[in-house]
Amino acid sequence: MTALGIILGFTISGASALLLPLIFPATPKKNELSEDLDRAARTAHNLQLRLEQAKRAAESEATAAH
Amino acid sequence: MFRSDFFISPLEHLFPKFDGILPALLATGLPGGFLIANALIKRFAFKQTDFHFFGGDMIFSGTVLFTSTMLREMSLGHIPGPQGAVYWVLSLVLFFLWLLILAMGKPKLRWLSVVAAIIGALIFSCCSAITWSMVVPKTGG
Repeated sequence: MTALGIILGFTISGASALLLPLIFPATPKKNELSEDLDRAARTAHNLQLRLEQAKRAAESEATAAH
Repeated sequence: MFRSDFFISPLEHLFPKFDGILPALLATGLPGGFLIANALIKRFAFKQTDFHFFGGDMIFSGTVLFTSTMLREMSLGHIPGPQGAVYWVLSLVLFFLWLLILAMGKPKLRWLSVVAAIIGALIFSCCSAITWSMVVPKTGG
């Protein structure tokens, strides 16, 4: 019975360490975060270019209408 | 005879001796409970986000428990010479293992830190079991 207690105790002790990844979920790494930021910056730049293009088109249409 | 006295007999004292299933379970399983309590408090009360040095925490706690009990038992004269020598060597090995487990947490890889935590918790259990067996119960008044 003592041996059973020792085996059970060691199993509990070792298995408890396996719960650590559940208690501490993985957080995104710095590289992933910087990649996300780069992607967002590129999207914002593209949108700005499209807006300027649309403005120019609207201005030229207005000039043509006059 | 010399060999038996000087090497085998002290090593025999390292093997844990328990009175039943409950003391055995408590001495070896409780470090797992301490590990989880440590993790929960650091995660939810102090908002810590990683667990890379938990193995080091565990093995250090076990080493301190073992060393302090060993010093107490030695000062009371409960540990004979050869057995004390084995305990001293074991204590040094434990401190070396502490450094090793801390080094395993340094690269901050999750799987390696989990392995380090498992080893740390198991060594804490060993320290706890040996300490439990080391203490000489008081007899008489």
